Amino acid sequence: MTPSVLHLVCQAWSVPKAGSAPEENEDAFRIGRSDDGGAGVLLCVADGATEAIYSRRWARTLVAAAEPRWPELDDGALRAELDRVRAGFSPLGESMEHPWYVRDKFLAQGSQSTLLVVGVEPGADGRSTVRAVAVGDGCALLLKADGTWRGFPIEASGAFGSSPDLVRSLPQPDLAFARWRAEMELGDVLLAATDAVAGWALECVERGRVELLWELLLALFDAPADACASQPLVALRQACGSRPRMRNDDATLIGCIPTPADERIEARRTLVKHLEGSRKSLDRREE
Amino acid sequence: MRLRLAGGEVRKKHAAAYAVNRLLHNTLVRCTKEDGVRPYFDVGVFGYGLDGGVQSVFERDLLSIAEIADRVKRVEKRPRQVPGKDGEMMTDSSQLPIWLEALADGKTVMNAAFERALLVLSEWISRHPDCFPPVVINITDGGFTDRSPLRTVTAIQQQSTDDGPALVFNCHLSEKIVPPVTFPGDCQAADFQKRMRQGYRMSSRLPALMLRHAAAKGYAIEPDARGYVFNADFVALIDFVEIGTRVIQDRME
Repeated sequence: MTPSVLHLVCQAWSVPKAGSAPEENEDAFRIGRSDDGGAGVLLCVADGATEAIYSRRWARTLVAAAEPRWPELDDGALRAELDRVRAGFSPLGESMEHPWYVRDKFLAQGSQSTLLVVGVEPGADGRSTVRAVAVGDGCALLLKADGTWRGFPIEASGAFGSSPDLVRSLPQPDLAFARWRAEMELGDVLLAATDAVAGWALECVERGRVELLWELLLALFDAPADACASQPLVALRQACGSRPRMRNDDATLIGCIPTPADERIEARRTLVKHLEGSRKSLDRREE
Repeated sequence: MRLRLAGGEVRKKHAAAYAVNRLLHNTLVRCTKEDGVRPYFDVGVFGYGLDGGVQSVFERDLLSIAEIADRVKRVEKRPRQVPGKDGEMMTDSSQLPIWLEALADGKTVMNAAFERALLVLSEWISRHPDCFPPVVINITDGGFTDRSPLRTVTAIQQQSTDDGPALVFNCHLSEKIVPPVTFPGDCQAADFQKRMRQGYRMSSRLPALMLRHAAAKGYAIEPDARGYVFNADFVALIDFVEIGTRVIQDRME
């Protein structure tokens, strides 16, 4: 019998691009829980634009400000929320000691980042409603228990470009949003990721190598909670035979797994089941 | 002699100086992060004609873009259109740092300038064999008054890094009120007269990314188009400089 309410086991991992220090990672992420003690969660990822200035700080500001209700707001209301965030963002402060070119760049271009906000709300029927809003190429990927999948806002690895839409710290009265709604059930897995990981995951799915994605998730899930916790992500950048190779960029991944009880062991069982299923499918194709 | 410029006219030497100052400013801004300027580029700017010689604008032939940030001579205020809070365009003033002042007219010792460039970039390539190859941008208002630069330009184009050969692009400024000839290919160049043909032969073919940038700016581009503009007006000059350097800036990202 499907439990009436699902718990959501969530975990996040993030690594800077190769050659960069952790403090240079321009990705930001947040897993938020309901203030009222409910079972709902907020998953948020942002990717600061390298060519802009103070983008790391802006990405962190955005994920800190994001609220579960944002995916439900209409465009005007959501733009007003972002204006509120902009009003409070002043990395230059009152100091005049910044070099002229730093002030120039910030005043002319502002800070820039992609943003993906996903709200997951478990229902009384054992299903969770997923609502998401996005600007840019941070992606949600819903992997169903039956092996099917859905991606948002990008569904093909070849669709990632070098100039995604961005949320800027300067006024954007015409900013457009992508929106998504889905249902998640026991046995499904929801991912939220910045573009490097999302592109790699989609390529695995496209090439029929989804078992690599499950192997990654299990490795991350089983990794010790120390400085090496995200090492399995780093390994994706290495060329290895015919395996897809993740682009060298800051990489962030959040996994969200519904379980009948709030226990990681249950979440791990879901990942193992998916991995076994994907390997069986691979074996059948190779016969 | 004056070029047409939206809102007024400007002398050719001022237009050239403006284009270079704007390029330096845009490049500096792209390299700027909150903790300083990333040294993604080395830049050399030379004037030729004054006293019949070739002079570097800076104290060295090449400086890092990070060093150029601290060598602004003065700042000019210029009007610009910016979006207001409600999205409507409003007039604001931007500040353009000035590194290069417009130089007085003189002889066009173009070959001497290219010879200087050859020395500089040959040494740079020896130190940076795996970087994007140098791009030499020549802006002139006349034909050369010393020997033909073609052989020197060919020598420049034979220098290469692992990423490809050095590129040479030429822009000829004109006060004539005729449409400029922009980024021609072999077919169009077949009808060129002497001076135009010289400039065309001295110009490298545009790499694929630059072809795309030129097309994105609305230029009708053939696959064999070269980085050459003749009778450039102000807009063509600015586009020429931006297209010729944009691909380097894109690669830094």
